[in-house]
Amino acid sequence: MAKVQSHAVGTRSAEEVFLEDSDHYPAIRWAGPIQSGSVKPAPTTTNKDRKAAFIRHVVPEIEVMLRVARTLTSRPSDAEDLVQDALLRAFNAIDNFDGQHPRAWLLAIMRNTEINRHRKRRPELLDDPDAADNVVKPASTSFGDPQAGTEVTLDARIAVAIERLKPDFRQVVELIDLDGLTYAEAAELLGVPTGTIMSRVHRGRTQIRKYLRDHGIDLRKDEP
Amino acid sequence: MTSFSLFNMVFGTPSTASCRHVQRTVQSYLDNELSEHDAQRVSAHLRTCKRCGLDASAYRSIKKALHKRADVDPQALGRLRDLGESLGDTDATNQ
Repeated sequence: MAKVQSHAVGTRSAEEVFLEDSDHYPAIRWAGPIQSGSVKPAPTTTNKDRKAAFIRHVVPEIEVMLRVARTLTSRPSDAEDLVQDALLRAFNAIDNFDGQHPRAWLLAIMRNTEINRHRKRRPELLDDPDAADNVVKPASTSFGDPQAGTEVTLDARIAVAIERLKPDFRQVVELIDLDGLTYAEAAELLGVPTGTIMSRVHRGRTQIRKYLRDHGIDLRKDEP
Repeated sequence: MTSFSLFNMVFGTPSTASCRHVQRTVQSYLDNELSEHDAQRVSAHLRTCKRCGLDASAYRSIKKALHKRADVDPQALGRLRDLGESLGDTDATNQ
């Protein structure tokens, strides 16, 4: 468990708050930023400094966190809950953040939060057919106005194609193309090598392309 | 196409990649994950190889179409940003 610098937060120390909430926000196993190999010891900070650090490093990443949470969870409401939990954990742990690579740090928190949420609701997951099918979001099966042009048809086909992907491929394609993560960030989030991300991206997009081709959509066109 | 240029296209040169190399790395190229040197070699190949160029165009279209689906619930985003702002509000009374 990462060390927590004790300092006053109102009438209780941050350590007391952190440990009290540990059932809900278990210890964050932060192995350090991607590029460097160690976490610098957090200096003693005031509550004002902690809040300023939270505003500076965490708040700008909230949209990306929500996008990624949509990919990790099965329902939009679960995604919002996940981000909310992760934000609270991040606030409690901001003293242990060295200021480098905030997105990777936050995604690691989200990953651990989701893992622990899954452990707690596993019995429900087994009974939930939607969760068992790993449905990310309702597929856009409406093909729109057939007279609206190929753009609508392509988007609708893409939506179906991505839903048909294997969960591992779909998850990576969504993290890269919808959520805008780098390969390294996606690898860190999923706990797999970067080469695995590259392979899944390649295979996922290749399968999407094959599905489109099988349904009469050939995307090979000359660039202007 | 001359046999020499066909050879270069298939096996590559110091300044351009081969078809085989491009087929393995085109996704990384489109995701800006290659080094500058490798990206330049792939780019040079795509300019001269019609088949690989069309393949890259197809994958680029897929990326573009996927990116259009990256919608986020604005209300959920607003609530979460409000939470973030309130946590970082230095004027708020400490709990």
